[in-house]
Amino acid sequence: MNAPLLEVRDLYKHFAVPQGFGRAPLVLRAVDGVSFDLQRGGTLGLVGESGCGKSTLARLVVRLTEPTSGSIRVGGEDALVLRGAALRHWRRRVQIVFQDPYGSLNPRLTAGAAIREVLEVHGIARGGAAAERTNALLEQVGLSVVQGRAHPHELSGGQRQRVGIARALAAEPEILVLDEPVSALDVSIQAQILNLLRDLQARLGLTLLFISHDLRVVRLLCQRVDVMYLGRIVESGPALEVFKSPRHPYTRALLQAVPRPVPGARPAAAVTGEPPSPIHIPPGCRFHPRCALRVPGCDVAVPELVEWGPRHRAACVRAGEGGGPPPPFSAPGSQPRLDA
Amino acid sequence: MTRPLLEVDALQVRFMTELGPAHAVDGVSFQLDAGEILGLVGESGCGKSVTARAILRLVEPAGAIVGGDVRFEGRSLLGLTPAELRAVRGKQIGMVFQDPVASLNPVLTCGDQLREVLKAHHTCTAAEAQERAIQLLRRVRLPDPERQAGSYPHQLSGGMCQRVALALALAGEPRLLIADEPTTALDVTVQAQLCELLLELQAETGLAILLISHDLGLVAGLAHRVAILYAGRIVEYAPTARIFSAPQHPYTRGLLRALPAIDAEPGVFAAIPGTVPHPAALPAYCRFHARCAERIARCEHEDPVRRAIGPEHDVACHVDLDPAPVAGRPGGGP
Repeated sequence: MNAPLLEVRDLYKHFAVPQGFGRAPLVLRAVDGVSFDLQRGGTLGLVGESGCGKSTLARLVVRLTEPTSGSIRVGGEDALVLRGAALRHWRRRVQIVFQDPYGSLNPRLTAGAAIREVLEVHGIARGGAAAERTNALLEQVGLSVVQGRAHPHELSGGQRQRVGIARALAAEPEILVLDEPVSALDVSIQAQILNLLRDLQARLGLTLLFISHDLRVVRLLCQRVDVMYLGRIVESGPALEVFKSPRHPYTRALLQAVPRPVPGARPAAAVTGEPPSPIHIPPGCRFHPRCALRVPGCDVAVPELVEWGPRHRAACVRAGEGGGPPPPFSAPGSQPRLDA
Repeated sequence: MTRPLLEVDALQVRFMTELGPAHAVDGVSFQLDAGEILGLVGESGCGKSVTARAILRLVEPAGAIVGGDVRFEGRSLLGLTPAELRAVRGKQIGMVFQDPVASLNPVLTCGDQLREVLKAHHTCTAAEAQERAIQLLRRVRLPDPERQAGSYPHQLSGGMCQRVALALALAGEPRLLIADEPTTALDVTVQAQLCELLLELQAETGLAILLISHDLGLVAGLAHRVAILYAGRIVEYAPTARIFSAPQHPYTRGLLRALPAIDAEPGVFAAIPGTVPHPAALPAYCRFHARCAERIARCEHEDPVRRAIGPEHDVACHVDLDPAPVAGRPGGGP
């Protein structure tokens, strides 16, 4: 197997939450020991609910936030030691597209100017060459030259997201980090952007880190998926395999909760309560207070990611048990429950 | 035949925008029976929230209801005086909004807010209001209601805030609940809990629910009937099972195909080309024709009239589509 293009090892990001004068700050453990590999040309989906640390992880990978500890390597090169010009040059290799196509564009620049800015900052092209390259990038993301003269407020959400993607592509990156790139868009427009990403990946050989809370999209777009809960990866494996036979009770609960377009198929509330705050992380397995399968000891020992199938790992002491609940979407109409 | 609980009849709502008048809602009609859940589905800008708000006349004065009627238990709500309208809002028709945190008062505890609403609706003593408030919080399955009644909204999670907002909407014991994207801001596991709660309330109390959502998957599990809205008009209206097994309007079919199913085979995502038109710049005649793969010449110079094509199944389209299901769905088949 080739060396992975992106290697993340034991990454931690803790934020201090001030508590006022004379009181010690609390520690918010946003990313709490995450490791993963991403092969060149591969697509890794990172799923989890709000507050699980997936957006912080995205920002760490592109070095918009400095980690508390851990390592990030791109093509074998340690990304965390880079400073100044070397860091600026490195940034071309790893680009990010944000969730909010409204907030991530400068309202005073036209779409074309926003793309050209990237070309000039990175010294990729200037003058006439930059204009030509900008038009090519607009075309690549399905926008016309006329739309390139529009300001963000004159564009729809989907068109703005295309501009965001064109800006990221302008730097000619190897890795594209996509932080919830379609969640602000309508469902008919989502599909347009997902198809665009898939085409671009095939054409340009891009490596994608796709962050989303929407399991339906991740399953169809990604080869591999990592499921995050409260700052840690609880399950990792080939996407179709994880969705077909989830090992971790949290993954199962997430899958069961996904609404299905089948009349009468009710999303099953397979877990109670909501994720606790990343300031007060439960001891032992951090999912145990919500878990229907917990056994004595789950509140003490922290489960490690263990291999249960080919490249399929889960961090649960009961992940290996056979005869667990069937996959949640095996038979439309039936509603298997973890506690059934 | 009993009278429907809510009748919306050719409702028209207009806003003035920079681009000129916008007909956000343009002749929307539907009915809701007691105890029924109706899903109102569409993309952003299709007029679903405006329709919901117009029922309680919450669009005024920014927008104006310029035509049609809204009748609740046979009585028109559009001619009511402000005092009469106050007696309907909350007491007969409750409403929950998308953003649970923004719909609560940040400087009052949950208990205070509930007591305030209870006193507005009923004559009751402080002790009775307190007891009722705890009961309501228990009914929306808020954990530890006695303690949480003393919490401020910022101390609660999004899902808990939405439960409190639901308790507030139910405080006046309404017969109809308008739920405008009630779970969109919530995580998927919490969304499933809220859906269970809505179904329980509907089953226990015979509450009718107008469920506004962009998510056909969510509506499939909750609603008895579905109305699909596009650019201010209902393009298809049918029992939920029909919408999913035999969708007729090209837009409904497109929406169903675009919805990634959790058990679909990986492949190309089915997109609908183009974008939703701005309400102030609507295409003439069939508003979907520019994005429609099935369009014929007639679509560009004649308004499609909503017509019945089956029992309780209406569609507004010129094209006589094959009645066979087309959506790439389980039970649909590509």
